[in-house]
Amino acid sequence: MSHFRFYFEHSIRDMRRNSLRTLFALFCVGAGVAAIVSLRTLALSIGATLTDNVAASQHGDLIIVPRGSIFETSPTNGDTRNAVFTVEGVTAIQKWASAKNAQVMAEISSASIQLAAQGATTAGRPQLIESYLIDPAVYPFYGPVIANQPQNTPLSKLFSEPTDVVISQNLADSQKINLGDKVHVGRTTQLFTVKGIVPTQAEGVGPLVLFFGFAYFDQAAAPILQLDPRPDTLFVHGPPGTDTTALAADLQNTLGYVGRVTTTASTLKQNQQIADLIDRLIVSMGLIALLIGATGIIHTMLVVVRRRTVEIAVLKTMGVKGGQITMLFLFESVMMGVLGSLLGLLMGIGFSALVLSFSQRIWVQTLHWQIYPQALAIGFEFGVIVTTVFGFLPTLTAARVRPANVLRPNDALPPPSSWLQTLLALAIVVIGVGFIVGQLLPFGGVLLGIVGVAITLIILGLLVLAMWFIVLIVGALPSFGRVYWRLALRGISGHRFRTASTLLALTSGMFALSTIMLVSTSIPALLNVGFQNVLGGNIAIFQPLNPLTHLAVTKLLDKQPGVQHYLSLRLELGSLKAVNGDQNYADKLPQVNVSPLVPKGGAASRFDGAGLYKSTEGVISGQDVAAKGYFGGTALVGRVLNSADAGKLVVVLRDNEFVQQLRLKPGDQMTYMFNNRDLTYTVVGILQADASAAAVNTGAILGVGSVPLDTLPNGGLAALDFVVAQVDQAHLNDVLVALTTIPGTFTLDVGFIDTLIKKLLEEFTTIPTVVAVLSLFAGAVIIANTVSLATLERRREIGTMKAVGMKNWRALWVLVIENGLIGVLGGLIGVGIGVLAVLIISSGSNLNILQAVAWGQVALLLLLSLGIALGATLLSAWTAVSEKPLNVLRYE
Amino acid sequence: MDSNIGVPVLRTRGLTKDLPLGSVTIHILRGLDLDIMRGERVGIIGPSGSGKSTLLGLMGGLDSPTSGTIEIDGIDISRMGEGRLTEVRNAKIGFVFQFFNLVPTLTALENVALPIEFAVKRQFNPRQRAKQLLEMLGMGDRLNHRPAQLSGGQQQRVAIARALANNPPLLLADEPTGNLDTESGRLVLAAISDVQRETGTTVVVVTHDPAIAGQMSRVLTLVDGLLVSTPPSAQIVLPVMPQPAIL
Repeated sequence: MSHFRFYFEHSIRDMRRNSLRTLFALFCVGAGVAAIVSLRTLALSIGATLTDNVAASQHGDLIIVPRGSIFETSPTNGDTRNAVFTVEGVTAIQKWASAKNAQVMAEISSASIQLAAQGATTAGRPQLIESYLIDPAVYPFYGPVIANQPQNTPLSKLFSEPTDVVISQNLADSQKINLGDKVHVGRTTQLFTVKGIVPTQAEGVGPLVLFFGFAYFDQAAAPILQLDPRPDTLFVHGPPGTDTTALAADLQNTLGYVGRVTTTASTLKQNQQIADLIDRLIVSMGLIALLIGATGIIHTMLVVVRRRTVEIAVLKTMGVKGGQITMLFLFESVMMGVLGSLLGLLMGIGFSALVLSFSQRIWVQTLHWQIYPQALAIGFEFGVIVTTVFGFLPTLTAARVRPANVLRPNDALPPPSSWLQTLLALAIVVIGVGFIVGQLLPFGGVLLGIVGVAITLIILGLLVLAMWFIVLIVGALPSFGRVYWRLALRGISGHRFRTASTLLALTSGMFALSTIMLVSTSIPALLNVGFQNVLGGNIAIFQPLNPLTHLAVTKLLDKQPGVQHYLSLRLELGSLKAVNGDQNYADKLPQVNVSPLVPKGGAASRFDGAGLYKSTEGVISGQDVAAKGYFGGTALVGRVLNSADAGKLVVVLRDNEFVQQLRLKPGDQMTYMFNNRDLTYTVVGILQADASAAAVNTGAILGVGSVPLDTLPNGGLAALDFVVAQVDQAHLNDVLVALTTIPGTFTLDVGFIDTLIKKLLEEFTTIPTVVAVLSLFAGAVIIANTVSLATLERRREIGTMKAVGMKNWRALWVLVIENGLIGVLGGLIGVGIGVLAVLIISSGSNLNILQAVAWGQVALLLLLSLGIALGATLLSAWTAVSEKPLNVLRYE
Repeated sequence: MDSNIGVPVLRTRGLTKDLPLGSVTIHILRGLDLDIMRGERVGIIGPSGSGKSTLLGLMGGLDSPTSGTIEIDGIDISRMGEGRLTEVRNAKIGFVFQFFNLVPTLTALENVALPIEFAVKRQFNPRQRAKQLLEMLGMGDRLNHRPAQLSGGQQQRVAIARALANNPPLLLADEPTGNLDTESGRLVLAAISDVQRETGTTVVVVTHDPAIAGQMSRVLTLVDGLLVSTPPSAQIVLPVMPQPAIL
């Protein structure tokens, strides 16, 4: 016991007397623990949102949809809903409910109703909003919907006319719709009035609600909106204390299979599973930040041991054994783990508020911040265990210090630990961290955790080795006679392991952040350009097969300024019957495997050498070649279609594998079959290949071909008619607004796809971004710690150089160069991998490297990396370089 | 005759140094008046804690006095800012430490070149000068060795070469043989003597060793922060040698 007291007092004394070093080490642990605590708080908060008051979030005890039941029927009036209840079904369920003292509420939902403010600058932008046609008097059973505007008004008080609409806050924000505005809704020409704006969270967490918002209509508006008035969802509200599982079972027993029934209990179970999964996922990610932070402990303990080599030797001369020395330093390591973890808990509480606020903004969900004891407990547990196991290896080194070192204090460096000791220490690290990871895994337990950690450590070891070589190369760079550069380069190569692991910490953070940022910026741009190339314009106007609507659209486009060209298109499904009269043309294609699904004598389906599915069926584009400013693309061979081709059986094909393998050229004859009618077209040109076009037409050996629109037979079942227009960005909004005046049209602009992808990416990258930022923070702390340790170790060296004439700022300049180089290297490697990821993703597009990569962001990320390194240097080194040389040379 | 003969290269007046230690203040130096003439070889001896190393530190501008003045070559450094003080150290003072204090990541040549490279106005080509000095001290075959590859005596000779790099008028040595075996210590002392004889540099050595002190032209004894024996400098005949061409 007296030993433990000695260890404790000695550790506390050492930590107190080396307060700056201790502080940085504590921050290293603290940063990792804070990451765990804040991420666990986020996970628990999400879990609470998912599982708290499920009845309120699903608005009833039971939710019934008619899928697969005897009450299912198809909606009429061109409604896009999958299925609705029959009138008999609704009546039967209502009758059953009243026998059980339960209430039933019906809802008509739709995801295809467009809503746009009249005359607003953002009007015309398509929105995939969720629409709920409800009975305001009873909706919802649980979780009353209270409007933001008019403030604190319940939903039931907001409706007075069938043309009233209540919208969600995110829809109002994105469309800049205000209370009282008139809005265009769906296919009707009748304007609706916005009577309320309600919180987005009122309708749960569905992706469409999240991205685009929702609108409540009175069920009386169904005829106006041309919707089938029969409901597609029924809510059941049982008497107080109802066992919802038993109620659902009774319903099925009484009426048979009425459809898919969701109970509050089943939703709770499902949400709990999701919450658990999120929890494990998020905390596993947080562990990365902790492991990065823990390398700081290795650095610190190595320096502690090195600086105290003489002290250890003295203790040994006095009879202290190696094991006791190990315990002494292990005690200090554990103390740092405990104190660092406590600091991390405090930091984590602060971080969690920021993380929640950030996540809430992206997810549009209310995440209630509170201090979760479970989050603090796991942070503390992981912090102490990881610090202890990571601090173990340096303490073994301490035990190997020879007592003779006391005689030669100037040469006193601890000997490296033996292979056996290193392996033992690594085994302890693997088992210790594996134990933690095993707790987080949904399956496999501790054994899988240990195997996973072993593999991770091997990978980490290889990465550190790679960084070690980079450091070796950088350290050997010429200094061109610049003394400060020489000192900095020698400083870098002086402690290669430490520099390599610091570099890895910074690189990891920068890699994670840059990959997330660059990829999520580049993907929308890639898809945007891709879709624009495929469409041949930047907006597509869809309308029913109605000549009057088509005429109205083309007339409007004719007179609208900014319309460069437009094109009426029909996508027709057909099959390629023969090439130059040869019906067995497919035999000339490389045949690897014949699909067993191909009927004898039917259309051949094949797999080519690359495993790409090929079919004789495909879609061909009928184009109005006589339209204003018709743009037929770029011809590689032959020519493009032009107005003179109207009515002629001519075709242009896009250059693709099929065209190349059959060596198709102008003059060849292509016989297509549309709607049981054969048509033979003459190839007049081969268009430039377009990777993005290939991406949406993969597999169709019919190829991406275009023919004059008026040569296609009418009445094809698979035909899709629309107009594609290219509009100047400056006039795009005006054109979209003008198009909203034509009822029944649905306009898609490529900017919408951009928005959709961006929203999706924002959603999916929220947690990785949080983890990346926290890892980067841990990396920054590691750098500060490394600089602090380096200046601590080199105090004598700095003091000597100052004694022979080096000024303070120049001593600092050496450290700035040294760590600035690490910052630049970390940035170049980390961001470089991010850029590489973008280039790989964009390799299939026709974007060049300048277009594909957001170079502004690359520059910012590199500056960030440099800034972190320099900030950490200035923070930790200034005091050290300002020390009077005598203090260092005499007293150390 | 050199016009500088009889001019003190180092002069202190009323020099004190106090060190607050908790609630107690320790008076390390208690008002020293001292003149050290150009070309002198001065030994400072005294028991542990008498203030020898503190005095050396103050003379070298490594620390600031509590009160009093220190003049080096007629320049008062006692109230000088750290930046200017660094320049004085670089140009006017050479240091030799007990524990050598070579920069471990630099070679012998690079260590010696360091003060020249830090100089505001360079008098010498750093590599050329470093090579000449190291050859002069018998280290010509160890130019590209790092400190860890040199013996203690060799490291100390590199440190002496470094101290002489900018041809300073004052060489301060703190127990220069304190960390060396007898033979190495003898070689180092011989090197210092040779250098002093050849360059006329003033040498001040702090030592515990009476044998080393005996080789000095004047010995100052410091007890409890006070000089107890200081022969008048005017009585000492100063051998002034012409500077070698390489310096």
